[in-house]
Amino acid sequence: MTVIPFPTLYENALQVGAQQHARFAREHYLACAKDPGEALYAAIGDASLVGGYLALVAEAVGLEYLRGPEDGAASLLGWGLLRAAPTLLPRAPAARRTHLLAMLWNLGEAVLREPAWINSYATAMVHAVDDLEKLPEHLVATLDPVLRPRPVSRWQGPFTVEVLDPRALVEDFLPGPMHLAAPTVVCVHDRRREGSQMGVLVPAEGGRRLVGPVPCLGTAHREPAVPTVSVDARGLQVEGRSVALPFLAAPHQSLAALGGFVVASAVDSQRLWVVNAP
Amino acid sequence: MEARALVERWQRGRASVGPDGRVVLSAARGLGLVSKVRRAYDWIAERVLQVPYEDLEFGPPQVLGRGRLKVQVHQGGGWCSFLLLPLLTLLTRQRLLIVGGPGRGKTSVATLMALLAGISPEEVRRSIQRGHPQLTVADLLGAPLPSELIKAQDTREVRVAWRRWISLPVKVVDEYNRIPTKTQSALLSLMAEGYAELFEQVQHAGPSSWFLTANDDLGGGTFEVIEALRDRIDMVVRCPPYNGRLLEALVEKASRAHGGEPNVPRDLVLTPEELERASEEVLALAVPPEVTDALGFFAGQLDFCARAAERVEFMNKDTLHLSGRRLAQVCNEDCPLDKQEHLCTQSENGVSARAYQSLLRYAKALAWFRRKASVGVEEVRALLPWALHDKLRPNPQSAFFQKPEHHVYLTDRVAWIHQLFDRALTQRAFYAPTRAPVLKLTLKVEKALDAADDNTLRARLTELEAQLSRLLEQGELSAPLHDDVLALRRLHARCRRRLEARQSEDS
Repeated sequence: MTVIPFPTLYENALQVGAQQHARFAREHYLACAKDPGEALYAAIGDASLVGGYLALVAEAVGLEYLRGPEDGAASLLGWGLLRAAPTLLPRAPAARRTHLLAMLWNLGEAVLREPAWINSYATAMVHAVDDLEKLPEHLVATLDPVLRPRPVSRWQGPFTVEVLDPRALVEDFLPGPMHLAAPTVVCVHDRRREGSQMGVLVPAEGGRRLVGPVPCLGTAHREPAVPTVSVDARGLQVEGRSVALPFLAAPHQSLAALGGFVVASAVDSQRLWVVNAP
Repeated sequence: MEARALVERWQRGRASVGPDGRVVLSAARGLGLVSKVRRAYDWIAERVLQVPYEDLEFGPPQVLGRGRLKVQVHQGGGWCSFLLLPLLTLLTRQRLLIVGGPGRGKTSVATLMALLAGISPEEVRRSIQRGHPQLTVADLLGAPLPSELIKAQDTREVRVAWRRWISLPVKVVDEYNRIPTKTQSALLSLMAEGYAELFEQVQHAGPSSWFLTANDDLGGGTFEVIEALRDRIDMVVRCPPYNGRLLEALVEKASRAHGGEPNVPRDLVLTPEELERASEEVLALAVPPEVTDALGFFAGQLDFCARAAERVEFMNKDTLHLSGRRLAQVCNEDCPLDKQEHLCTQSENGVSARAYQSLLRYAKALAWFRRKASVGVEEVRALLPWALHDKLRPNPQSAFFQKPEHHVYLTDRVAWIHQLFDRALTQRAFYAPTRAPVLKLTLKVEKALDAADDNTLRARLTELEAQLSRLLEQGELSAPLHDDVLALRRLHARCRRRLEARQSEDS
């Protein structure tokens, strides 16, 4: 059987992409397809599968989903095509690879149409996956707690306070403006650096966590009638109650959600305080 | 949202495994129509023809520089007329003339429009009609089948082999001013009436966009272009001059194997259904009364000539031309109107209603392209020079053009027409207080015409006469005043007719 050289597969997909899409950029295709494609071909030697893979990359470039290797961390689709496919597809049984490749595309493209925070969150959480067969279940497990709505709080307590440290993810992140991206998701912008954000996830069951750095998670979610909260040196004041916030001396910003939580930051600290009042 | 249901839905995307075991991707969800057309513009401007300027600009201008070294930049973005007008022609199914020197991209842009409409490159190449002095009607339209000519007892029995280009949705006629006069007449029928006739048989052109090219912007090719054919052209656009960036496109073109136009990406091709839908959406856009009034005011200014006749109804340039005279013969110091202020002096002629109708169609298409809900004055202003480019002739003897700062308007037709329209808008605003009572009375009389009794009609007649007198006492009869005088006279005649009709019915 004749072995089709990789450049031929690469060029064929390039031609199809350029004929299909007005915004197809050859330099983006080169940056996205060449190294991962070559690695995949070297690992599995399946011209049909790699041809299909390159066609998907060309489609993603033509639709401007992908521009370069850095997009491997920017979206679930980028992760799937640029990182997961070259490394995880060879580990899958040969008979399942095409199905898994199609699944990577479908999940990645569908997530792009969801609110921005879902894509950022899913992308931030997906690195733990080492078996593509388990990807759908992994997504269910990570998304379920944050998608489940929190009941509207009456702010009667008991209150719990948790301190999160963004330094673990971005060394010099300094919390600034914040807004709700979803009922349980807060987007916190860096005070000093435009375009740098963190996501704070506050699911009903607990287990607050930070994800990031992420693109801005979007401002589509608006909540009416959120209680007025204030943060001062004594701590958080909400609905006539006071909650002590350890180490917070000079408050900077705070945000309350109907589901019964408050996220606060300090002028002189990189920390974030999450007060939970289910 | 329930996570499991969500993830299951995500997995039902457009990628699947085909019967041959390969990954298959179905077509992506299409773009909105406006986005698609805008993307087509970007693709041509950035990747194919490398346009050097954007002359259709919108939004408030910011003036940079001083004196003759002045440049305006606009806040609302801009497009190049050379590319945008062909696209709007495609959407409105109108007729565009592209003028400019050889090798400037006239035929290329027309060809690209045909490719965007989904016509294959081979078919486009075959269908372009190239004007030359020997082009016959048979070359253009088709010919009877020779065998039928011998057998037929009657001309109706002769079957005609029509040229295929006639029924294509995009028609390209290259160098139309090199077509002999007789063949031009056949082309006129096709363009104007939408059908061709040979041997008592008719072939319909169907809804189509026309792109004609000419090397000379005055239409003077090998043959003089017949006036009726010239009048059927809705817009004229000029090729951009040579520019440094054009070389990049030429290098790219030279490197293509066949040397012709590039393949249009499939995501830009407009299906017949999409073209139909775009055309419907464009036509559905509203033209607010404010816009039609501004355009009407402008048109009235161009048509008017106080010296052409004694009766107000005939005070227009047609009267002058029908008597074999030119404007310069009467537009002199004997006419008391200030030649620097009144626009009537600047143009030799007025413009037909057809030209304004075409302009409004294009203005709708431009508003659609700009994602606006209705047409604004700025769309009309942007397109006006191209709609009137070959239709409005200046009167170079006018005192207006004798001023050194106005000399440039005799060569820069776009600036001249913009200047005319801007002055018309200023004058319209100035005359607004004078026109307000006329408009109010017009509405009042029109409302009363159907229902009013004889006494009310008589009262309205008295009001119209009083208003007419007041207008005529205001000074010299200028174009804006003339427009209102005509409107009131027309209403007066209608009231009088209505009254007489009632009286004759009663008796």
